[in-house]
Amino acid sequence: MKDKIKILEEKALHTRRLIIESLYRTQSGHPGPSLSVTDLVTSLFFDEMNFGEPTRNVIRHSKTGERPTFEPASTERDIFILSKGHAAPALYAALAVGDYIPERELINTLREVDSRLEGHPVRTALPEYIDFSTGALGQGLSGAIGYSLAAKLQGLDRRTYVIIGDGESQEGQIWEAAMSAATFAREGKLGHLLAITDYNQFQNDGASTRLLPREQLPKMWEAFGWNVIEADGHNYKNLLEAYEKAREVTDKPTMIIADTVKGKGVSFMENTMSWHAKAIGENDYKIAMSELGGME
Amino acid sequence: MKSTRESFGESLLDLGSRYENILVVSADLCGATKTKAFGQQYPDRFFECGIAESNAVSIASGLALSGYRPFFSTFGAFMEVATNQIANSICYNRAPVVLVGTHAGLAIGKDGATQMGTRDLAIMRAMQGLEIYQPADNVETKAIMEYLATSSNPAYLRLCRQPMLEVNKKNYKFIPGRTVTLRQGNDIAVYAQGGTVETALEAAKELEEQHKISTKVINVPSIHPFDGASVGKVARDFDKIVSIEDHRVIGGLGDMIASAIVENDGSASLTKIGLPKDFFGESGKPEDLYKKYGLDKKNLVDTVLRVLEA
Repeated sequence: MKDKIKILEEKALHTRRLIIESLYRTQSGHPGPSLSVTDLVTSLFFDEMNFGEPTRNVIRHSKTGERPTFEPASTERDIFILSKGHAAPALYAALAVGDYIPERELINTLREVDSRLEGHPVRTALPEYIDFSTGALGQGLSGAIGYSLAAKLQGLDRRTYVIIGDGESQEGQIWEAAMSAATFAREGKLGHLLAITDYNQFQNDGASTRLLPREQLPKMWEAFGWNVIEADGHNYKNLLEAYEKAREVTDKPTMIIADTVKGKGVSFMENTMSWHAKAIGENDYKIAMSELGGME
Repeated sequence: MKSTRESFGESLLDLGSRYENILVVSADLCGATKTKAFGQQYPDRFFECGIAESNAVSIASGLALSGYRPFFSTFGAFMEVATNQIANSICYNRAPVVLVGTHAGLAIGKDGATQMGTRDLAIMRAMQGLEIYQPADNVETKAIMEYLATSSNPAYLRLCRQPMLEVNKKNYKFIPGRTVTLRQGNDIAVYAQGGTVETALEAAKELEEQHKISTKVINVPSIHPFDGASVGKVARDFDKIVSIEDHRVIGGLGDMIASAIVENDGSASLTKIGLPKDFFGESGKPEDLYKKYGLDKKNLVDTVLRVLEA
């Protein structure tokens, strides 16, 4: 367990460096929420999920208006949806760390024209690894329910994972989804669905705690019929235990409410609203990289 | 006489037995939108989401991206609740979902404006990569459904509540994009769609019999893709064109014909009949509403006579 956690922490550190490096180069984007979600994404990709081996055949994406032939998501691996799509760099960095996409592609092309790595994840740009286009908040949890219903109907073991934001949880659709997922689980139609709330306490214009106070949130999910687990979103032991506990409950979907720190890992970005979405200047970049152990 | 929503329900049940990947997602209107029988026959493949259209649309997307062909049905008026979900969860993901919007236009009658799909075509036409179809009778509904069952493109199917005459032959073949000429004529061309097709045919008959006016009647079951070039040709062969639609005159059939004339070197003038630009709707018997808002035979005959005199 100790070694496993050490490896995950190293991967997370490298993920954070890639996030800062790529966001610095592209001079835009969302550092705060990408860093808050990093340990959730790392623990899922490199321990909890079966995301399969890299399939390096890709560059099929076309923005020329041509219609790609439709291909459903792979049935050989678990499904992952980053519903808070603005944290896309964390997802792309995990894909780079896992060798699914080249690191250079992330650093050099993030948010640039013709890139597969847009400001928010685009399924059709990278259908091998992106299971749902997100960015319009509130829709990913419902998409995950669709995948989970399909898995059960197909008799697949595959699990569906989705990360939502605390600010995103103000969208009405999240609670429509909450209601329906618990209902489908009771009716035996839902496969294994694990949702995580990245509770980093901030949203675009202020504190996310205003409309959804932290102490209220678990009661809300419980009231909607979910299995709720609370965890420290930067503590791997805590997170892995939470995933383990989630697997024990099969008649309800599980919501892990993960307490996280906005901007985690870079001291001056931590717990500040201003780093939700902001271009990283040269000086800040250097300080951030030195705090994260530099870049080779 | 059968409504296109009824034909849709029958077709869905039939296709369900032939295509195991067909599913139904519902938002508490399975009775009115005719998916109930499918749900009873295939309970495992039927997903009732309750009155939560946004959630239902995104769930349908997740099912579709897993390899299924889900049909999500509700009133056309309520489809717009999930406009952003249709754009992002379905179209941007290229998820092969069929959205079925029933109770198009005035024909829901006494329930009134909030239940009437009078904006849905304008909204759906703005969606990137969404195919849009509206059948005019039972035969056409079933032919379109056969196509939809095996296509993997996102689509919107616009259906009517009211019983409709059979206007197509039994051997009708549906081709996406194509317009369908139901009656040949030389003096004027009338474009119609869904619920107004039988109005157009009846008016054409009366114009022939009582006024010796020969009317070409063209049905437009395929809204996207759409054969604009064929409209250009009609607009060179004829001096006058009339369109008649059970939708507001913004963003629907009339606008499509107008653009197609201009873009394809047509020279005909166009007169649009449809629901007024800022109109919501009102309660009343469907036939009374069709009459009041000019979607009836009499108004079309009068309009043609007026247009040809001008």
